[in-house]
Amino acid sequence: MSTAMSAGEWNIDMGRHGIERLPPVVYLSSSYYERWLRRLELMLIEHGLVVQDELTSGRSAGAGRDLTRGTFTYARVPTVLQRGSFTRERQGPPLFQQGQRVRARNNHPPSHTRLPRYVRGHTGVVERLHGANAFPDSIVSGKGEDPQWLYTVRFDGRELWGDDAEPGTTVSIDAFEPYLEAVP
Amino acid sequence: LIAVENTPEVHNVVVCTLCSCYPWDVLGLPPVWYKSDAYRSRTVKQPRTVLAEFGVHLEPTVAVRVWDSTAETRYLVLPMRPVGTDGWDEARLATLVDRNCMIGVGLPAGPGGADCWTASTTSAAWTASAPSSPSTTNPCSTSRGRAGRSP
Repeated sequence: MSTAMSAGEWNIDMGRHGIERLPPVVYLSSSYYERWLRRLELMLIEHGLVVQDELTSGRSAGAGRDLTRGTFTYARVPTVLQRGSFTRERQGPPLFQQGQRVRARNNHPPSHTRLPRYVRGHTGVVERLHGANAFPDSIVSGKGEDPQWLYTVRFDGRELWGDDAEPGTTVSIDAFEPYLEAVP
Repeated sequence: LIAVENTPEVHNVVVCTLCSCYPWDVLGLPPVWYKSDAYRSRTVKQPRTVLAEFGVHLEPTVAVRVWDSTAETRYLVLPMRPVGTDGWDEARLATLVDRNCMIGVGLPAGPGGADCWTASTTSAAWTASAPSSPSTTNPCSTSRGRAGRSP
């Protein structure tokens, strides 16, 4: 249902941002699919598809606006369940090369980002360049896809967890170029 | 989708710390424990401990590589071929591999249905948080008895 409702109205990044904006008490006290439901309610209201009174009463308060892509039909179910491609064209060469040491920026944006907190400020090694992908941070801020180079960056456990790291462990993330800075 | 290969030197395990990204178009819906705060937060910090709780006891000489699916790339673990399966074709080998193997929290069953790992009771902690996920209770029997395999 969530997928169906989002068809044409919002994308996966905006949906994740929605679930992250649930009040902490709601988030922490809800089951996995309750969070989906609360997120759906939030976004339906934000997108003008229902009003709060309708959610409260469980009754329609009148005809709603049309969906961006028109009425959702059974025939479109396979289409919306199909996994999309996030690879995009990007102008200009990547800033970082395979094998290069990079640091995850120590930033704390108030909005949605896909840079996990536990790597921020830590140094890793670029292991792979995936090509350019749509950039979630830009999408949720309403600035479009702004494709960015995407890298797999690998961190040593000791770099992340210090002496408490389990020996012989590494962790990699997939990091968009703006998350990274060169290490001199 | 990227398949990461287990070797005698490296064991791979997949997690999504930011939400619950999962190759569901290949593996189906993720198990409940995969979406739990505990699995998501502990796997990056204590991967050996978490794996041991699933019954995967690795030698200290085997490096553990954790893949945090933070973007739209999805990861799938390619388990090591069990000893004693020389000459097995793809279809027969597939009967030894279950979902947990492909997340990296399980090892394939041995030929003839031998225990795929040493302890079947160690996953109790994960079973408790995931009562609707039968394959965490006894991954070995699930792996052998699974008739309808996801594509």
